[in-house]
Amino acid sequence: MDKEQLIKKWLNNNLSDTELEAFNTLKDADLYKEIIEEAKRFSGNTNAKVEAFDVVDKKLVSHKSNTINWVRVVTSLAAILVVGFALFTWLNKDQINTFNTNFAQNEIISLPDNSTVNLNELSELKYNSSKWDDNRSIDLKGEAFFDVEKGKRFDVNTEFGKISVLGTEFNVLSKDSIFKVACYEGLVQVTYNDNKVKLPAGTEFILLSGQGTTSNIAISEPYWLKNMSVFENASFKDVVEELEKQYNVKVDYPLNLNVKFTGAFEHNNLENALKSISNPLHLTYTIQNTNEVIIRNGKN
Amino acid sequence: MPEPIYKDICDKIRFSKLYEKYAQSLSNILLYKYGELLNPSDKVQEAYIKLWENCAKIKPEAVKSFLYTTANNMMLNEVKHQKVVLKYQQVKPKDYTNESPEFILRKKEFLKRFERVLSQLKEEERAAFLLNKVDGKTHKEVAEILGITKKVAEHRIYAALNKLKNELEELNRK
Repeated sequence: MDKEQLIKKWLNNNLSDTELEAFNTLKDADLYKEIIEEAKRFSGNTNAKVEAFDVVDKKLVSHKSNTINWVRVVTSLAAILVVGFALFTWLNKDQINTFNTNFAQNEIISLPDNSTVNLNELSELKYNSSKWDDNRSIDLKGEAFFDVEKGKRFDVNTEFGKISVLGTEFNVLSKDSIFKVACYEGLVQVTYNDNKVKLPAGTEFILLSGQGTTSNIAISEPYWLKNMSVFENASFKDVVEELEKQYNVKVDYPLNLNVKFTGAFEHNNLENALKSISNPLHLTYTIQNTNEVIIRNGKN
Repeated sequence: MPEPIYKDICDKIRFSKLYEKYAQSLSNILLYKYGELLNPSDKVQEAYIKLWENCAKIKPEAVKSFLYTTANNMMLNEVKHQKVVLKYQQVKPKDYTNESPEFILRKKEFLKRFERVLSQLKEEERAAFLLNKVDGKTHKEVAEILGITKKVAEHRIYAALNKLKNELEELNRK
């Protein structure tokens, strides 16, 4: 092996024992070793020592915000949307307003747009106040009088049909099997079983066993608003039921009584109400106590 | 499908790790190539600042070569015709206090000459030699750093040693 090869191998720390012996016999071996040893004095670790990171850190421009991590942006947006949607639906849920009335109890309800609803006894009204601006929609069971402010569509949903209003006053009765809509002002549209009927002011719509009829009305407000119950050719049973409801009494009457009643009775005087019913039909009445009334045929 | 854990290096902790890992050895390379008058450690700092500014664009695996290229280019812009200066450290690797005055005198002369010869070596020879013998890089690593083959690196290290020996052996003859 020539000298150059030997030295190269030595430089690469790659000498076998015998080769190392050969290297050590070279006349310049010590000088080589000294050169390598002394070269360490020129190390950059001392001659070109870099600053600690803290020092460099201060010189770094804070620019993290310049580099937009789209994945992070999209995921945060999605998270905000999800939370927002959850909050939105949760809040909405809480803003469904419900009103109930008991026996002989009326309630006047003001809607968000200042429309008023006069809710008759034993009725239930429901609406979503948070969506009111977009969707004026009310669920109704029972009877109510509406005075609707001008604006978008106003819908009243009942078991039997839907009443769409174009700004008006109207009455809705949807109870037991009766569905009756009376329009006192403006124009109302009634939708039932896929049929549409437009009711101008002064007309009413009655749905009887699937058959709808429209007729004129002469009054300007439903009677119950004036604390009267009005009947037109009504069966005596219906009249008695209405009386029982209004005064919260039990009425005992002959079941075979087969007469029709046209007329009205007031709501704040039982004596007067009984007279209004009995006299035209030639009946007699007895008030047993505060919650029991007896009605009989003919004169005593 | 394996994906790199980090998409970029725009994170102070990761960045500081990169600094610990490469800064000093980069500074050494610059020193060995260009000497200390051009402030290798300053160039390293500037290269890191540039790296930070571009952190979103540089993939982690490209960091090393970005730093080297950036710092090296900064050096080349300044180097022009500057003379390379390398100074030996007064810190002694070995304790010579027990030696004779003649020995100390010779050593002093030896180091002065060493310094001069080292400065006069070709840049590529000096860098290869010092990286290998001082920083303890293997021939393969030296070759990678300087962008040459292992064979060439080996030859340059040998050539540097030979030149140093030729210049320094005169001292021994005196």
